[in-house]
Amino acid sequence: MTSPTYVPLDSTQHKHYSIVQDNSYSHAKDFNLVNVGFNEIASLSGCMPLAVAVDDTEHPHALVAVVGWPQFGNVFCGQQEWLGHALPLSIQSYPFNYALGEQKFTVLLDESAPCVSPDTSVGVALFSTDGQPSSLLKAQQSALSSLVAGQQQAQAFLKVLRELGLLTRLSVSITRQDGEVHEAANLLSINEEKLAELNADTLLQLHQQGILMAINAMMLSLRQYNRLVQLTRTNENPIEKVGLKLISE
Amino acid sequence: MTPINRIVIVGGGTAGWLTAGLLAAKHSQANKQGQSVSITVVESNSVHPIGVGEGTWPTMRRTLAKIGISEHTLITKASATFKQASKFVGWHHTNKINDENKNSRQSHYYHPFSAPQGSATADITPYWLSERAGNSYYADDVCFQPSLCEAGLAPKLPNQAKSAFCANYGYHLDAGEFIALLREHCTQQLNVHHLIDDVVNVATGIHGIEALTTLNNGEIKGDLYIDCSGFNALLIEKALGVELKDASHHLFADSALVCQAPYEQENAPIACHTLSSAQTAGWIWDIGLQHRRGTGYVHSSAHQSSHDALHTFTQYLGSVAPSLAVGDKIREIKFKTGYRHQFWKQNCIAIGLSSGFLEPLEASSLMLIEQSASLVAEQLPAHSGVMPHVAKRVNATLTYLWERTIEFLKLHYVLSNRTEDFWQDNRNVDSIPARLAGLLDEWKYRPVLESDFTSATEAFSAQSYRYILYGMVHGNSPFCDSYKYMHTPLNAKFASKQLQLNHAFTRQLHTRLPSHRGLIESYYSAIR
Repeated sequence: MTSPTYVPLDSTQHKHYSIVQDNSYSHAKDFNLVNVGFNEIASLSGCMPLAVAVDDTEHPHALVAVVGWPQFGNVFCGQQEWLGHALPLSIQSYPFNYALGEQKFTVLLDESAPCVSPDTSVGVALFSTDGQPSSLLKAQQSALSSLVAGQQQAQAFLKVLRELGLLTRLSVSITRQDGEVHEAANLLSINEEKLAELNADTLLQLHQQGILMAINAMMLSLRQYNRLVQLTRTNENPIEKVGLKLISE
Repeated sequence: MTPINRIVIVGGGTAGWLTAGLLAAKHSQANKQGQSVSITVVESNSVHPIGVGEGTWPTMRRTLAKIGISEHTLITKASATFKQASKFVGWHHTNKINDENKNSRQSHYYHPFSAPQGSATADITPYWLSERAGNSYYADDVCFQPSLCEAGLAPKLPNQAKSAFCANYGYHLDAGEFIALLREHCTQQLNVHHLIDDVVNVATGIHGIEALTTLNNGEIKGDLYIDCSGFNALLIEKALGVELKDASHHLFADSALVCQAPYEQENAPIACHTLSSAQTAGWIWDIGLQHRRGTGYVHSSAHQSSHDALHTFTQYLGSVAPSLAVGDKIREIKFKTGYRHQFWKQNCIAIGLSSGFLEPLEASSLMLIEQSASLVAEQLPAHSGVMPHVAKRVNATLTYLWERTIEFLKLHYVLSNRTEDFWQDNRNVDSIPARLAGLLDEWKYRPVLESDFTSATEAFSAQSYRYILYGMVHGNSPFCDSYKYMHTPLNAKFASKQLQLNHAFTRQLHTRLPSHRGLIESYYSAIR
């Protein structure tokens, strides 16, 4: 995949541009982890595992959805369609992205994306001939607005989790049909013991802020690793078993 | 007793072909006894439709579904556009709005097709009258549709599933293209016989019409004749002698100047509502079609000379289409306002302009055709022996419909506070139909009720009356005080919630819906 060429969306410059919709979201076929917003936890947690990714300095920096493994790529990208009932906004909003300046939200378009066409002979137009955004573009603009809001809320959520010491390392091991085992511990999840130790006032506060529900959803979402395993079945060397371990530090 | 197996429709305009389509869709298949009804349209080649753009009601969606014409076909083959409302500009003078945003608004109000928020549960008008009248616009407060129209947005998303949300809508049509589409569909899909010929003689006898003589096809006989011959009224009036019941003492307009105006730019936004602007002695309609607009000045020749009327109209055209060289593009149509004393006499029924004419203020013309034709299709008598019973019932129903329609049109004039002679005369008590005058008296002491309109075939509901009445009245009008006489609480919690919901819903729709032109273009795009 060529690297994206994001340019600010412009109703004059992109007047005749159109998008060929790709129901399998194949641009994301090599993804393993996808950034998600706080407002996506409820919908995604019943479809894919949610965890926290760490940066190079081991600092927890992003709320993520797990959509595959390096050996398999994104297991939700089927031949014809997306194989989940929920879809992360950042995948959905492709080939658009956003930039945040001072008080300014700019919609960006990846002009190099294969689904982007500089004329309206194929695909769905971004603008109608009266220069107004099409319903497709309006839907994408709404998705981007939710994405921005959700990502900002996610940072606040991670801050709370860090401050309360509620994050712990998650070790995931997979065993493939030929017996090969891979183990990775590059993600963090909720430390259930620490959560159980929180006092009633803190729990009440977390509940009132809607954070407790998100914490519970994240814990339950780990069961969706089974769904990921299931989706590798079509692979010639699928995963037979997945093991999860929370490592208290 | 003769079975009704042959229906002959004289006239191939919108009325003739819509009637043929509705009848054929219901009756042209053979029944279990192996009988089918033959439908023939005799259409003159020398008569051409006016073609200045017509508005439909949402009922047209059902009518076309019955006939078997898809929306996709209507949009791509008949240049149809969507209509969500009528917008009335300058029908009343007001300085009631204090809101800064609305201060610059010309005096206008909307009659949207969608129902007020929460109206399925309760009418929130009394609360609105008590809290908002005088400071805000009724339709804008209770319905999302005026805001969509102002923003030029479509009533729905492209290619959406039938179950998905859409605002209620009808269409704007080019009559000529619409007729061509109906004709093709009726003859190719519904087995309607089509004769291009002129009727030169109508033979009558004691049972009504016995036969038609045509110029090139000789004699044509039917068991039921439908007069769709337009203002000619070839069968109902010329042959059977049923005269028009004059209604020009209620509605004064008797002339229309019409013109097709181009858009200033090829891809200009298309209005998703009929624009109706009040003038010195009438009003101008402005309908957005895909490639041009259809306009017309309906006026009273008794109140304005034809010279002055032309000036009024050209001034309007100059403001909306400055580059239009008006020249000989304006045509004049004269009409008589009224309806037949009898719509169905013996073996003949009149549908369309032959049955009567009302100014197109609320696009009632096509609605009356749809209603009449559906009624005939539904009640088609099995044989001549039962025909008088059907005729009696249909006459009563249609007379009721026309009378109520006249009252509703008159309502728009009665509530105006314009001061020109035409408008003052319209408020003369003698010109107001008695039933309407009675209701207006009552509405000073209580808001409009559903139970004011009780017929199963009511043309205009309480909802429509509310949009007009509360759209036009002022804060100090007695109609705005009607809630004060109520003995029951205003249900403020429910009502204020509905106003909030309408506001939130409106905002949400703005982030989703494409422009009206955008929706139209989606019907032409390669990918559906």
